Amino acid sequence: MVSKVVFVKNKNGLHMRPAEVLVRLTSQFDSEITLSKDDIRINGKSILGVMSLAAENGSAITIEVAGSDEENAMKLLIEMFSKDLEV
Amino acid sequence: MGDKNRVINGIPASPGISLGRAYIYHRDSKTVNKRLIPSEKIKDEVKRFQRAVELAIEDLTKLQEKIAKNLDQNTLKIFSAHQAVLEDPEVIEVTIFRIRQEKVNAEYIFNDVINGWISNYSTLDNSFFRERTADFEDVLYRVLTKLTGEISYKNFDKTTPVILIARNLSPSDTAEIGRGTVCGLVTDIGGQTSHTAIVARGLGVPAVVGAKVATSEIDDGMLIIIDGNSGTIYLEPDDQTIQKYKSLLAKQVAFKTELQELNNLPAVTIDGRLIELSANIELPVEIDDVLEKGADGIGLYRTEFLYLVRNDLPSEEEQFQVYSEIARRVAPNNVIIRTLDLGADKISSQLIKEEINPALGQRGIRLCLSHPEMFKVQLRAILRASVNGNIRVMFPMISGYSELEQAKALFQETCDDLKQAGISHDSSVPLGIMVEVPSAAVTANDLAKGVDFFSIGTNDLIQYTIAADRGNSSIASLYNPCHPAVLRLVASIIDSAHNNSIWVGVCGVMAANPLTACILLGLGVDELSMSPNDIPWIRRLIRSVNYDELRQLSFEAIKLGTSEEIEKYIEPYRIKRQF
Repeated sequence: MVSKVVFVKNKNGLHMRPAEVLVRLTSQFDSEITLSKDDIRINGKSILGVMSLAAENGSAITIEVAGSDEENAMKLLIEMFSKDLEV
Repeated sequence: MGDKNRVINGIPASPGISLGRAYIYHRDSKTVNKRLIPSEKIKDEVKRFQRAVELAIEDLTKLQEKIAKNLDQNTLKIFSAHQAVLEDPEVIEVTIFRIRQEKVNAEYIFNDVINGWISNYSTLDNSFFRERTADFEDVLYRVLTKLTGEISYKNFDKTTPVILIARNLSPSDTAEIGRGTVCGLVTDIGGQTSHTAIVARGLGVPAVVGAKVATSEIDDGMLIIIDGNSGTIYLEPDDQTIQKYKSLLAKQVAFKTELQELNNLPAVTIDGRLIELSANIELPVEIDDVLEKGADGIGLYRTEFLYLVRNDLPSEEEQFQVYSEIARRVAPNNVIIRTLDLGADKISSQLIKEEINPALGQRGIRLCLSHPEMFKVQLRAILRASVNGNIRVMFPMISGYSELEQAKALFQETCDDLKQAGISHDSSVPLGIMVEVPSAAVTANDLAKGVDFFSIGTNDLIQYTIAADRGNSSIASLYNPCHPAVLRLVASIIDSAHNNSIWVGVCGVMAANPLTACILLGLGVDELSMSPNDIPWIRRLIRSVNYDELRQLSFEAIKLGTSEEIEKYIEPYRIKRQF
């Protein structure tokens, strides 16, 4: 398993559109992806889960990836969080 | 009930006034019954559910195509997100798992799963996320409709416009309603970021949301007034209130019509000074608006959008296509293309390292000069596109003459390359700079000798002159366009331009603020550029002022010591001329 803390850079936080962009990426991987903020843990492939974190701009999110393609998934996720998720 | 003139207060969500009959909009929802499914039928039940989800997704796709023409991108994105909800494993897989586990019908389980999420969200502190529950309900109803065929949207077919009253409006409700049939929106729940508010503003219809008791207090067909500026709703208003609002409404309509009628008239002052009124745009789709508002061209086309939201750099061909389209559509008017103006605050990629102080860092022309290959790709695309219309090129963030010379040298190199390769381009494209750095403002007289025009970027000029970030709320009051230092700098930039026989415009907030627009006109600017939406009323302003009067007024005003004194000095003129 690989794990990493990232920060939300989006002005409006992880709202509907960024959450959608995020799950469209996570869904491509076989690995299990878990995101957590404070003490809430959710399935990183679930848009309802991602939005329920109510993560605002600047929030710290812990990403955990476990599975066959974990390295690649983590790399792309970190890259995605380094940008504004508004696509 | 029965009392006249009752008032409900809600949250103002979209400005304007509406007077009309109420129309209570609700879904004919039926209770979702629980049924046990025999073991041998479970497989079919799961299939039935999967099929319903597929059909719902198909509907969403069709709906997106249908509204693509008349609604904005934001609404489309909402439906795309709804589709993601229908692909959410925590919704779909969980429902299927529970149908198998509990041996209960699909609609009951699905309803339960979605409602679980809704109650989860309704406890969130952040109102933006809390208000998403309307979106989930929308998805829920969409699938339930497919499963039972019993739940349908109330048929909305109106010939005379009504004020729509609903507990909550989902994105599909508003898409079905469309334009022209609704003159106001009221919902029981929601806030300023809720979907209803966004759509109402997009449609230009007054709206009040979060009115809590609207659907229970208002009856179908009741005469009501909604005030989208204050958030007030009057039920069965008395004659006095009706008269008051009718006259306000008449003013609102008259003002809109007056502005519309001006769209094709020149922006000329009473005493005959013609001002070029142009638009700031970011995307080619905004050109429709630019043409409709009768702008005299594009005073600022921000090219950053081409470079954002992607990992690689836009190709020459791609940029050439976009610039050509804009130039062609706006011709014979001018398009001022501002070369890439990015800094570490807007982009974090291979181009720029993170900076402690991006506002004073490698941004605008500095970034381009340090990546000449990237810069030349953009210049080539612009030069090639220049044969398709009237393009002007503008460099941002120039801080002194040597920077300008470097940029011009690269421009000349690009011209020579194209010439050598035999590629058609217009080598006489006018070159200009944004004057937005105080050092450029102070040396404007020198810079003016090297360019064909100036455009004063007031947003940055104010921020750099006063050393105050307008995004920082604790010092926001310092960021004042009427600061005498800012106005005196602007006056000297305009003088320098005119002394060297080049024209000077202003793009930035100062161009679209009534007080500062007056001062700018008085100081002698040749062009004002602003968001297309601001053009009609600034055109009206220009047509109602006298340049000679403003000239005297402005040059007196900038001698005053504080922004408060300057505002006070101009204000009586604003009132006298009624803008």
